Amino acid sequence: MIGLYIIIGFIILFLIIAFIIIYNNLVKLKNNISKAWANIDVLLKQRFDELSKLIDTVKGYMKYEKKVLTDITKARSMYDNAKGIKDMADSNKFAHESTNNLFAVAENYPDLKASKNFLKLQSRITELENMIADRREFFNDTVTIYNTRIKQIPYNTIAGILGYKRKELFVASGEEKKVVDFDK
Amino acid sequence: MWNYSRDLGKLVIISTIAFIFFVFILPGNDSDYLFYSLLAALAIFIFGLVFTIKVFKERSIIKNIPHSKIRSVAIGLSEIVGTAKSITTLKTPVSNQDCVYYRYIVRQYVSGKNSSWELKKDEASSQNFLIKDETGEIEIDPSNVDGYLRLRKAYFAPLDLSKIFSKDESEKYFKNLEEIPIVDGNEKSKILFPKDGDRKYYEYYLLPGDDVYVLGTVSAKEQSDKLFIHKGINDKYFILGNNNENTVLKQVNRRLLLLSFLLVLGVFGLAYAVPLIFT
Repeated sequence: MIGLYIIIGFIILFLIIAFIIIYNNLVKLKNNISKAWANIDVLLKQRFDELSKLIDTVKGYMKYEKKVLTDITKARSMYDNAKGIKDMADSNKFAHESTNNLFAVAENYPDLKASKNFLKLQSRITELENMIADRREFFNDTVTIYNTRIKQIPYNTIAGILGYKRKELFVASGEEKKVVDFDK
Repeated sequence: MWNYSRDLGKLVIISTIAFIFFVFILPGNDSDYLFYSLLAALAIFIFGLVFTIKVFKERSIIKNIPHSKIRSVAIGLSEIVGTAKSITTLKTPVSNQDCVYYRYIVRQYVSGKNSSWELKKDEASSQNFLIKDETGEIEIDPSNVDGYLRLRKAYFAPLDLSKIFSKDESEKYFKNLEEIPIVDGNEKSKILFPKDGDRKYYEYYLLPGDDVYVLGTVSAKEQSDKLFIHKGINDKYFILGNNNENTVLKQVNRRLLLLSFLLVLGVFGLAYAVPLIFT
């Protein structure tokens, strides 16, 4: 009889330990998503800082391309006012499209294209765009791991009790994944 | 550094035999021996519990973190998959191959009542090397890494060999070692009648171009903005493996299974021994 009580005791101990491990795992997964998002945010800020410098460089050359330049400023404003992942994704998409438009229009200004400052900024922004694309992919992988885990047994039981909900992916349109190739 | 994977299997076998002896055979009706049986069961249970939790946490970390691309890797604990590339010349100690990282273990046979292949040396290289993927490359400082590398080479050296070659003739000595065949990272043949002083040499290594998996802390080098991977002060996980995450996970899962077996053994041992003490 004592043996049976011991086994029951160990089963209860095992369930308590399992609950603690699963709970801690869910917390880590959630924190991984926050960290992944923060790491994208850092690059988005850097990109807008570089874009501000780019506007200062090109506005002397592209006096009559007001829409292209104001679109970049509008993208920054959308980013600053964004609440949540969807707003961020929309501002990022708009910024990406505006940047591509600016670089496409810059093709019509040979003096600008020859400017070392412009080329340097263009290269840096392209690099940042690639890194942003990588980190968006990383963020989406992190969210997918979390979303899958909260549906798997036995995580779904504890996730359900504690109110863990599905997280949104950072959805990019097909155009956002293209990087403008300036060698063409 | 303990040769974890190989020795864990042996530990489980020894623990099971010890468990059966101390818990079922030795006590009989003797209460003094019952106390020892309780201790044996408790020791196996605690060991099993602590290390099962440890390995389970390790497995969770590996599964929870997605791969990062090198060009966009963030500071902190990160997981990277790529190919190995050397920075400086490094040779494996016995097989003398160009490599980027090695771990080298020497065991010597000790005969007698508790005959075994005792660990004489366990050494790993500490030279930095690079991991490369399609987006760039990053340096790794492999000091204090937890290696999940496959056994690549194993050699047998009878004691007589060290009598023929002096310490200065180590190159000739190593060239005359008998290679033990390896299949899937395991020794294919056993030395049936080893003698006192016989040695075995094991090499685990990464060659330039090998597929590599690493989970470690990414930091910026001092006085530089270049990033590198190392064992972080706050992050205790630093894993280096052949191939990819799945290969490493297979080894981790094997450890988890063996440790869980010890844990269950301990539970049943306690469930058996405690009531006998009270009755």
